[in-house]
Amino acid sequence: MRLTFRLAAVLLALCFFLCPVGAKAQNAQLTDQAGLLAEEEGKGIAQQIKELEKSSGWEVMAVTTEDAEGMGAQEYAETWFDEYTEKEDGIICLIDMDNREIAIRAFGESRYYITDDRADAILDAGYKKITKEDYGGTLEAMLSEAYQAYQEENPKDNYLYNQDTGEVTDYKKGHRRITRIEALIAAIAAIVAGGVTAGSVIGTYRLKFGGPQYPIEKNGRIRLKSQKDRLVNQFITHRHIPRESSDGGSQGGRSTIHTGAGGRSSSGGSRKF
Amino acid sequence: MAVVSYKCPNCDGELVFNPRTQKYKCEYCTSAFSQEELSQMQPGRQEGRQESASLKGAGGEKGNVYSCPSCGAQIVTDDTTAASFCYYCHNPVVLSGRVSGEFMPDKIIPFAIDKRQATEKFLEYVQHKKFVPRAFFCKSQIEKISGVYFPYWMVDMDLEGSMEAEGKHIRVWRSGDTEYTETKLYQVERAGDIHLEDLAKNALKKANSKLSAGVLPYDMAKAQEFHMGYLSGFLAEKRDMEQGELETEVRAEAKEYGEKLLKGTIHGYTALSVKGCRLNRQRENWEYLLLPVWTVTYKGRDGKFYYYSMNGQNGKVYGELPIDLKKVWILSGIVSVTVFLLGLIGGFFI
Repeated sequence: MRLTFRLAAVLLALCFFLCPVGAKAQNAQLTDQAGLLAEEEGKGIAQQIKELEKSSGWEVMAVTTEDAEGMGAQEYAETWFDEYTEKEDGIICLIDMDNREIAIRAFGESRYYITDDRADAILDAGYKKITKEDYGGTLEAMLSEAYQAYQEENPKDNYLYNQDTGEVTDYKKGHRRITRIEALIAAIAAIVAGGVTAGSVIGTYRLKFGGPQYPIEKNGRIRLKSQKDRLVNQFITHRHIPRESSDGGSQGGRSTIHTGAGGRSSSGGSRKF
Repeated sequence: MAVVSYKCPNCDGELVFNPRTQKYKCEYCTSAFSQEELSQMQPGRQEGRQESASLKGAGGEKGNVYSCPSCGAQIVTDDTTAASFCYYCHNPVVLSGRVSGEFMPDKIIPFAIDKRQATEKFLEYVQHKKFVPRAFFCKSQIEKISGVYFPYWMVDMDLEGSMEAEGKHIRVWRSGDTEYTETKLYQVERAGDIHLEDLAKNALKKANSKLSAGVLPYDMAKAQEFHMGYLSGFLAEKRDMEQGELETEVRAEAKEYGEKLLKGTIHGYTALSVKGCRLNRQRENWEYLLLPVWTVTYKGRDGKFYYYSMNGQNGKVYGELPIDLKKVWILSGIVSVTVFLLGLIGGFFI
């Protein structure tokens, strides 16, 4: 009995200290698995993440790894995001020392902000730093560009291009939903239609409506003796028609998306260093 | 007042009018005679053979008790009955005083549907109604079906009318970013002679106005000169509503129809606003008619009595129908769900 207890305690301790998943779970927003960040750098990045999360409502993650578990940087980033977030919307910035690659992936709503151009700008900013082995600066620069994208992009002007299927989804189409007001109007219309149906059947059967009509077309005749149609006034009014704004589908920024291993679609990109 | 029954020239049996053949048929020797044949066989007696003209009513001309020309039994009627049956020998009788003189109908439309056809048509009508409880109607539950000639006033009217209105014609077009709306206002005038035919009004106070109006209209081209013989084998009522009582109502209706006809001659406007209408009566012709109606009394499975009237010329049925509320709510539910789903789909895509 005592032996069993000791064995269990040792196993628990091993799990706690050695298991990398446990390490990931402790701070999923910033996870420096590769040990690239100084403490002060980590604090600065965490603060950046917090600010971007607060402004955007997204899940924002920054991860370093020296073992991509056989995956490419983008795939690793997607898998990580799938595993450690509960939200639909968010971004992840990754330094993959295994593949020597940096990556940015955007999910959900953030795909309309992290367009292909923005992803390039984020990777450009990160690349400048990582080539100088400034790993903290890399994540800071990438997050800073992502924040700028959030502030400057108008998602309604952008569209998604699915590289797997070729399908184009503009913001309006991608945000089709039924609002509460629409549901309420539909419910009221349904109640009225049902009531009118029941009322008309019951009224007709109980002789409440209509009744026989005098067949005026058959039994009534008119012979016109005079007929005058005199124009007495004429006027023209005009109004300016505002131009319809374009839906932005083909003129806005394009976000190339693909569906990752976890089944979620994301935009972004990666760059070797 | 004479009580008339129609006898077969061959066997003296009772003659009744057969709606299918439009001839008089002897119930005993099965001989059949047209109105013309009967008139030729009995010259000088246009209304058939008057078997008995005895009045034994208690109360002279206004008495409601008569003696049957066949068996002598007393026939009790109400004030408006013009044709009935003897309660004892079932001999059809016509109270000739109630369909002669001032109460002589100008025309009559004879029954074209017999009792069997009327029963079939009635059952066919109610059984095809989707919201009537299943198996609610069956032949055995028909409590009573009677062929009755109901009195109606039929009015033809000539009117001279004129109408003034403002017509609006709107044309909209676009040029570049500007939308133009051209509005043309017209002063419209129409004047003409209006003829309204066969404005029908029920002339019996005790008749259910809805049921008696519900069977209208009739094909008046088939109206015939009145002969009492047409009443033989049916019930008939004489009018108890005179022209004066109905004039206001009929003239108001005629005005409404006259306006409608005048308005119907104005075409081609986007909007029309009637500014004034004047109608003067030029001629009015009132005719007193007897029209054939099958009345059906039906005892429903719910114990309630339902009353129907059927046009005795074309079989059109009118009356309140029992409702299977469960079926109505199911339909209403289907409509509601469909509209709700369409609303949601519309909200999703718009």
